[in-house]
Amino acid sequence: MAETLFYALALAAVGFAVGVISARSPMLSVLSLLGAFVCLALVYLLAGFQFLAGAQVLVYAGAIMVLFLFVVMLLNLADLSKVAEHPTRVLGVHRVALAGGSAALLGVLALLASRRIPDTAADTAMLARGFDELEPIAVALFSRYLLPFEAASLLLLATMVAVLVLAKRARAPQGPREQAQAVDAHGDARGDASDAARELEGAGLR
Amino acid sequence: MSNYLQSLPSIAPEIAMTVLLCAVLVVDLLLKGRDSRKVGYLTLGGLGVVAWLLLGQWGELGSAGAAKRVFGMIDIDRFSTFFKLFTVGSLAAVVLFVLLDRRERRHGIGEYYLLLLGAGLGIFFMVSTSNLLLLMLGLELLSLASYSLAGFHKGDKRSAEAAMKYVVFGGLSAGVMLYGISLLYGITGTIDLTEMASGPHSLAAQFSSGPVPVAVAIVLVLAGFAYKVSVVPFHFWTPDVYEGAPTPVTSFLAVASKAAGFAALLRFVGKLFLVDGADGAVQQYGARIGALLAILSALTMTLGNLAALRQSSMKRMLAYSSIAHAGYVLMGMATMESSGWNAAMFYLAAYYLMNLGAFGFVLYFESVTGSDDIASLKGLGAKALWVTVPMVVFLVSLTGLPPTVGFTGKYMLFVAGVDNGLLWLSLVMALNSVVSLFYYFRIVKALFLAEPAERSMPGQSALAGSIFVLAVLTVLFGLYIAPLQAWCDASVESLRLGAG
Repeated sequence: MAETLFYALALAAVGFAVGVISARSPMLSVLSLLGAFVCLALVYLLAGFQFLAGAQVLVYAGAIMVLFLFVVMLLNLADLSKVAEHPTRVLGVHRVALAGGSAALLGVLALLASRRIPDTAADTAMLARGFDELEPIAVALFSRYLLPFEAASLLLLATMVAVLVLAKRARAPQGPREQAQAVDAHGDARGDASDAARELEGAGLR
Repeated sequence: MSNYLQSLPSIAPEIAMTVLLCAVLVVDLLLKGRDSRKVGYLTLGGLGVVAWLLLGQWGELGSAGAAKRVFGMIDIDRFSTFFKLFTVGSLAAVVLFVLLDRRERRHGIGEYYLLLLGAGLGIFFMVSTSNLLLLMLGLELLSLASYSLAGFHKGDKRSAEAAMKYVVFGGLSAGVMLYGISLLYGITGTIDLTEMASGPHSLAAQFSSGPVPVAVAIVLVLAGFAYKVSVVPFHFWTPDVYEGAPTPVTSFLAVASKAAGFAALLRFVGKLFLVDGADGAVQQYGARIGALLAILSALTMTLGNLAALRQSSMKRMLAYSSIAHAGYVLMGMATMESSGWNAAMFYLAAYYLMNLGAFGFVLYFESVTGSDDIASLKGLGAKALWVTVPMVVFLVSLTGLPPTVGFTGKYMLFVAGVDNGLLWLSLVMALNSVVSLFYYFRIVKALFLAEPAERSMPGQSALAGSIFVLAVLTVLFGLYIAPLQAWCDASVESLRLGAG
């Protein structure tokens, strides 16, 4: 029973994932992502990890999806549908690649399922300890896995800075000295100011 | 808990890097991004402190002789300390490149340094851990910082293209690798490589009961590494990213990032398969992995060298050349014997020196001529001998001719291949070196054999100085190999012991 349910959910998750990248409307794509997240949460639940399932629904399906929806709503949908038109012309190749990739993946999965992976000692010990209570997770997180936990925080910090760097528009030089520097550095008279203006124009915000 | 406090001094370099990263962030905020050169100097100073801490650690490891494991997942041994030292060295070189280059300085805002430090920290985690979770986090830290560094020239289409391609390929391969790791966890019940090699549910035991899942998992993880070090079926991103990224970033990607990928790959394969007294099943699988690596190595070096022949841009040429060099290092690994791994590590060290130098040269000329086209170098050889003569040394070393470190490395690889029944691969390598001679010496030809140019060369003397130092080291380590050799022995030994 559980096994059938798992395969149904896994298939659904893969289906939703395909929907995310193939849907023409961004709204549909976001909703497919939501579906994939929920399927994953159910798989966690099936494996006995209630906390993970809860966190998945709260964090991904809750917080992150709302953000995605905001972005989709704020962007100009008409423009996006124009963008979406382009890949359809070459979709023939994409479709073949997609189908091939999925088939290969499913084949591997089936192959693995046919060879029984034995239950390992770690699993049994984990279940015996009652893995799914919040306390053991917290203890593991702040003792045994303290270092990866901190590394993850650094990862998030670096990502945050990286995203800001890429999303921020160029700052116009303020003082005369800086302007001179900008001109000097670039080798011609084109300074940061016109760059910034062009970027603004490009983003359709001016 | 006190246990953790006691082991804090062992990760002092990592802590210093983190503090430096935060300091760079705060100082840049306080300066309101007005004078980013100060941030650059701060970064250089901080890197000096980290290097000092690492050297202290290196000394301790030498006297006590004991590699240790802290936090249950970080291995402090000569292997990791060496790679950390070289990472700090190449980071310092990249920061210098940024500070000294007129065009880079315009983009050289504080975040540049912060992201470089973040990438360096990711490498620190990658090269020293045998825990796959921390390995993955380190890898992602390095990758995410590299993506945005590659796209740092926002107005430049090629830079944006480089970042986009890097993200797509990187994301895909990280996914593939994670899938492999999760399979490994499912099979063995642990994410620690040492436990995986020895525990009650070790890979050896699982090989005999069901070899297919193990093989699938390991191939998937290897694919992730292969992407990071641009081995042939996963190399497509390399030329475009190297060409489009700002040149200092390219030198970081080609040198530090690639070597870190190799360090992690060496540890992964070493812990699992290069075990003393391994039983038959492991050895048999080790041999199969070796055969796989040998085929990949032959493909990688051949394709890299053949493609490099046709490039007119120096950055693209060096990108394909770096693919070829990945093949050479893989060849040492493919022997699955200590001698071959020694040679592979020696070659990695050589790779650091000569590629850092070569990219410094590209940067120097890019700031003078405004392009990285080989044709634009015509006749400039005699104008700046302080830079062009070192470049000839690097090119000689990259080709693998004496008396340089590149020659010593290739010689060791060749001998290791012949000794371990990979004669065909040794011959492929020798032929490839001949091919590489053609494209490396196109640069020499352009520099010295064309009509002398009229134009003057207002270059950066500090940049030229650091290029010169690298060239001296390239020759020095080619002639006096004892220190590098001693390190290679110690590293291979610590990999083997750790697995036992």
